[in-house]
Amino acid sequence: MDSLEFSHLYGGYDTHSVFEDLNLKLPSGTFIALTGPNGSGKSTLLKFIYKQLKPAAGNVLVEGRNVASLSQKELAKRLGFVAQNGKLDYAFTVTEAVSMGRYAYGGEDAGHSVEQALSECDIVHLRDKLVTELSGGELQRVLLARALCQQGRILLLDEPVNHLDVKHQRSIMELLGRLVEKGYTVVCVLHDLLLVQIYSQTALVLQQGKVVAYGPTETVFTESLLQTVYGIKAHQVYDPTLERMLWLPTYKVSSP
Amino acid sequence: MKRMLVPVLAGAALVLMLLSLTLGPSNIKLSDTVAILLGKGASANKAYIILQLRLPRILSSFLTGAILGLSGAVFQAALRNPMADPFILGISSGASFGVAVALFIGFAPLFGLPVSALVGALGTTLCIVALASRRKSSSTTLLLTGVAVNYILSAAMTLLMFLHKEQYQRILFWTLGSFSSSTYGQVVVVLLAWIILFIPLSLHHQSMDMLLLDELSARAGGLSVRRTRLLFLLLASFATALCVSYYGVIGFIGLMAPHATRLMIGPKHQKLLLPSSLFGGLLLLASDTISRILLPSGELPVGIITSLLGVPLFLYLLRRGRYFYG
Repeated sequence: MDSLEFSHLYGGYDTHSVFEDLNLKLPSGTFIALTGPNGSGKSTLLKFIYKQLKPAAGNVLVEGRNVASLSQKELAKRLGFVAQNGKLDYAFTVTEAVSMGRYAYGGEDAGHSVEQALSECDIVHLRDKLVTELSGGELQRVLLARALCQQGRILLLDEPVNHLDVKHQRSIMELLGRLVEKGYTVVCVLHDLLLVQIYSQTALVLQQGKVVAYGPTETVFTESLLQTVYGIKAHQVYDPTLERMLWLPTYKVSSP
Repeated sequence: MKRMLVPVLAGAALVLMLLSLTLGPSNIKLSDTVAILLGKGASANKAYIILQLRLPRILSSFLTGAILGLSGAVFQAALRNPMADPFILGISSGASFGVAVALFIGFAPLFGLPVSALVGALGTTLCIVALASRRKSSSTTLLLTGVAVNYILSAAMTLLMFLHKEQYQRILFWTLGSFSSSTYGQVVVVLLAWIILFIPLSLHHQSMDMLLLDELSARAGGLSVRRTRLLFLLLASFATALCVSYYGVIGFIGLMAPHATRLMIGPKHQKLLLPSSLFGGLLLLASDTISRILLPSGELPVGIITSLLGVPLFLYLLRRGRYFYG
């Protein structure tokens, strides 16, 4: 069964429409990178999944069920979510913040699930710290643990690493990779093309609400696609560790 | 400290209530006060002062503070804004406007000021919520709509006061708040309002926690954000409007009580609601007691004392509190 499906989706904001007849099926058990230029509709797509926006026409299906027929709690039990810059302004402890992931279950079985999620994200040692005292990388793990606590098999992440340093970017992306190996479906909005190419198995490129490329990551990116979508020149380099070619933007640097 | 907070606040409230009963223009000994409360003699005059004048006033001020403490927690969570208080959605300006209109067009003797204030407060809140709902009622939209309507009503009230100068002092005194006309009937109504507010909030404390997240994360966690936010806001607005209609506008408690409590025990509403309510009650009771004993004759508006007493305490807690906003 597909994890997510968008069928003849039309809609957007009051001022402008974003999607017009979007048709898309995302498979289960894989790492899917959702990428594209700013304003291409990546975050808007997430708002349709969570019913923050209602389609003008068409359907959004999660594990075969139309989200319109699911209550917010039923939806939460299927999908975990990590928001873009999901900062927590209030000084909850890490355990309290992670246990919010059990809201859809009325707090039921919170202890066991929270322990498991803390352990999965390697933050057991932070359990009594306040979230306002954490580094960006630690906080991102807390948000991921909260999403895991919801016990859905699909994880949606909106630019989870864009404000992290390279080391923390790598550790979060590797953690997501391990979750995919355990059977999760990870749908991750990413801007960094290098991270997309290294970590995702499937890439979806959006531009102005339209799918311009979709398929196995290794085959999706081409020189012409990067030129068309981003308006940049790009070249390929060989990464000896990964033993494959990666696309990089070609930078123009004026000499001093 | 955290576990002891509720018993400490409840104990302090009881001690302060007893002390407050003894204080006033006629000082009555503690032993006489206790005897009167236990129905064991003392003069009829003293019994009247304690049972008919001071006790309903003390209970009114404590319960109003308790409602403002709870409502403040609701507004700060629902609007995701630590500066929000129960008056931010137009309750105070609506109630004051209602009173000014009633006095201006001569409704006051017919319905009384409380009814005019209640109608003004609830009418304004419902208008703001309806206006904001048209724009999908995000917390920011609600907040800004409330601020805009507050400004319009304040200007309209000032205009009415300007045109109707003989009522100026009456309106001004009402807007500053007073418990001098408290009755047992009001105590019962305010107690019921507290119960009606406290029970659903306690049962849905997890929803209040979820409201502190950004909207998409709260939805993703399973919360029907807009419906929950509106229900909580309307509930707290109704309880606050009821207090305002009886006792006038009493600022700062609703802002400070949840804040100060959060600084002591953290933001989780399961632990926060009751202490915040008790702290609000304690602070307003202390303020009202001071307001009626500070001057040799007459009394000060209680709103002045709540700020004078509350601000230094709040600043102290802010300096030493571990739980702050990130």
